[in-house]
Amino acid sequence: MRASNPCEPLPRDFHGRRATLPATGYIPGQENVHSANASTAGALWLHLHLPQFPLEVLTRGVATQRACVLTAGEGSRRKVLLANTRAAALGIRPGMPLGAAHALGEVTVLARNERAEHQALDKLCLWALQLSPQVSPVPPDGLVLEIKGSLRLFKGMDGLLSHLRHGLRGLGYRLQHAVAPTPMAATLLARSNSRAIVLAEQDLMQHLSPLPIETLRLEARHSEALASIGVRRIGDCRRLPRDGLARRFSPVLNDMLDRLFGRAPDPRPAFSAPRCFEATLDLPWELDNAQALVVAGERLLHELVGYLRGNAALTHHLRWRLIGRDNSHTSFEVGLTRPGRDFDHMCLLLRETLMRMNLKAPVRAIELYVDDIMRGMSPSTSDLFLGRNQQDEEAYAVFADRFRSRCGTRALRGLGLKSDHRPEHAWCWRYPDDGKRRSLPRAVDPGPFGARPLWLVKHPMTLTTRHGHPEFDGPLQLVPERERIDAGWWDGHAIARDYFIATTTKGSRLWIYEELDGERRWRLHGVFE
Amino acid sequence: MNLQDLMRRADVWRAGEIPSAAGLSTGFEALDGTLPGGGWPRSGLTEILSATPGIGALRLVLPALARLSHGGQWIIWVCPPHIPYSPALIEYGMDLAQVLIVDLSDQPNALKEQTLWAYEQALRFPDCGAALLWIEDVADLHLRRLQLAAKAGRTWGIVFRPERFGTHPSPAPLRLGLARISHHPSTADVDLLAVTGRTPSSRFDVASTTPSPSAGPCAPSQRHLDALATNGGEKCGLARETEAAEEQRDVLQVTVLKARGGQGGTRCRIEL
Repeated sequence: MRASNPCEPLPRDFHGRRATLPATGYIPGQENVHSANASTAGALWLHLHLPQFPLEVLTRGVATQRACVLTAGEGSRRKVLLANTRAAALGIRPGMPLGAAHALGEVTVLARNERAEHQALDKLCLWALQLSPQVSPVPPDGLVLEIKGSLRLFKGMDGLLSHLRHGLRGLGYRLQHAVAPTPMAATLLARSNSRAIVLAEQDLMQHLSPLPIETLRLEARHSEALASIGVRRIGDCRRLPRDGLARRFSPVLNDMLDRLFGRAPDPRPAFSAPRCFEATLDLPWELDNAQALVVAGERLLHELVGYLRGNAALTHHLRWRLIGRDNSHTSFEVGLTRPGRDFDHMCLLLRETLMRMNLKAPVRAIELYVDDIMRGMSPSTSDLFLGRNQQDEEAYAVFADRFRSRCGTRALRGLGLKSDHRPEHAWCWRYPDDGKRRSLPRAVDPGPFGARPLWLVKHPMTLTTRHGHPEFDGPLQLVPERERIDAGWWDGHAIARDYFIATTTKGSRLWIYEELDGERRWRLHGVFE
Repeated sequence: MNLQDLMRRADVWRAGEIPSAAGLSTGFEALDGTLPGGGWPRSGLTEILSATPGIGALRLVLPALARLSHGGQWIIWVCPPHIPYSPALIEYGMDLAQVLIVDLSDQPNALKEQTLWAYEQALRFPDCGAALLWIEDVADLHLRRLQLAAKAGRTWGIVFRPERFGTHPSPAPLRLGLARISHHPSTADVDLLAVTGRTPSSRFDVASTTPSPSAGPCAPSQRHLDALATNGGEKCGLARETEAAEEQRDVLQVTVLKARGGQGGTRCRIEL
């Protein structure tokens, strides 16, 4: 049996089945397919309502120093739909004609962007997955989560709500929330800004009855019809006879009330996270200063960290893209030495990178793309089998990342050894992400080598000669012993040299060689110290 | 701000205050005896001023660095003048796995600020045992900042500079002047220009057993003497010993010339 609902399409339940809703006469407990979702299972729903959502979606990417308003309507009848704090301080109120708002002060007028709202709501659901695995969006400006199972993790309702408020502030949204045993009740309470926490179903009536009927967001004709018979509050509506209500308003209203009070199951589609994270933040106006982009970047990082937490995942590669006025792109990547999801650390790296960046064109949007998602890892267990102290590793990773984000990925290096007789091939650079740091020998067999200098000159310097004798700041004193190195014919970098230790008149000791072929030039190859 | 607040600041040093922490053994007995705390400071800046590059400044600190590296501490080299050569470092007992090099040579713009930033980060990194910097001209203000960073990160910061900067003021609690001023080209003098907790005029010799050809003596320049004498307006002097260096031997002489508080000038000689 399938009930049709003209107001809202019936959502799918956990298993992708269409939920079946009995039109009338539903008796709790009879239907057990939806027990996971039905109120009888003792679920607890939290609704997040974002009262300023359409405006905040547009402005959250910048540190708002300006008064902004969102408008609705056409031409001269444009009205203020929402106003930010600064605009409100000027005396601008929602519902005011735009002309009146302009008269009150300088305001930036923004047009509603429903596509951006839709995407932002998706991202918010993604973020909320860290609070509960059961998240579903309630378009256009809210979402509802089942939190019964999460309370222990967050050490109770207070812990969860404070985490939530803190997170939403980071994302740049203002929040109204409410908790109730049915999702729809939570939604209604949150929209009316009651901050209620209703734990038992029998208390619902008391909390819901005074709410105006508009909070149900019924179709216009239904709400008008209800108003005409003097029904203004949910409590009034409930007192009407069911049969009459079903006849006059189609079964929809009864249906809604049943779901509202937990007498009918109200399955919600579970929001599922995509495989990779991809987010765009459009800026309300163009920014030409890379540092001003930090705010927008932070918003996206908050979303990313929420996504990673919700998926119990880590990442070590973030791709950023700045989209300029002329659609030109500036891409840059931020790598982490160790996979992680620490917001502060990633934020620091972003800031360092932005600081040394010169923008070619003003930026109108910023994008973050992360496909390098390592699932099933948590920061504390990722390095269980490393011999080294965990904290040391952590500290090193933080240090190395900072360094590389500011000075370039190749600026920080380690040293390595290679088994080769040619001095310039007997060593190598190693980079932090090589991952071979531990496999280095602590000491080597000195072998039949002569003395080796502490410094190797990168490009051997040609020395001047006088009567066939090399000079460097005056004549050089050569130690009579020489070391002949003749190797490398097998890889095309053959050398044939006689190495000497030489002392300058000022007392520095140098490592020089005489080429055994060609022009028999003398070159400086090292400094002994 | 009253005087009490002022005295509590980490960057205020009281005359007569001797560093309490035991120093890090230098590996040279005589130098250990000369330095307050019996060795290198474990935190704070040490300035080493050489007349000529390559006369042994690095060798003076390597034994201590090697020991730090085996203790699991990072040794960070910021902008070294050449490539530190791995085989030689291993011979000196360094654990290469703990060595990090900061190379900014591919970044032409803002090189100096970048270098100082990098060095400060290294000093502040708690797991870094010692951070080495090669730099010429650097403002007093910046050195002060670095000194604070070294104290905060409890890192030993070693700054290698040319000798001519000995006249510049420096907040480093320990300053060594290193010059090969002896009669013998392979004999070097190490002057302790400044050291917290000792009076100046300690000098010692460091000798090394590397082959050394002979050459005529060379006197210290007047500029060098002037430089040392005017250092910080404190008691300075250059003690010079012109003894015959034994065959096959580098002798490094260290003189403590300036100190902030403490007692007794020391003079000593060390064989590497």
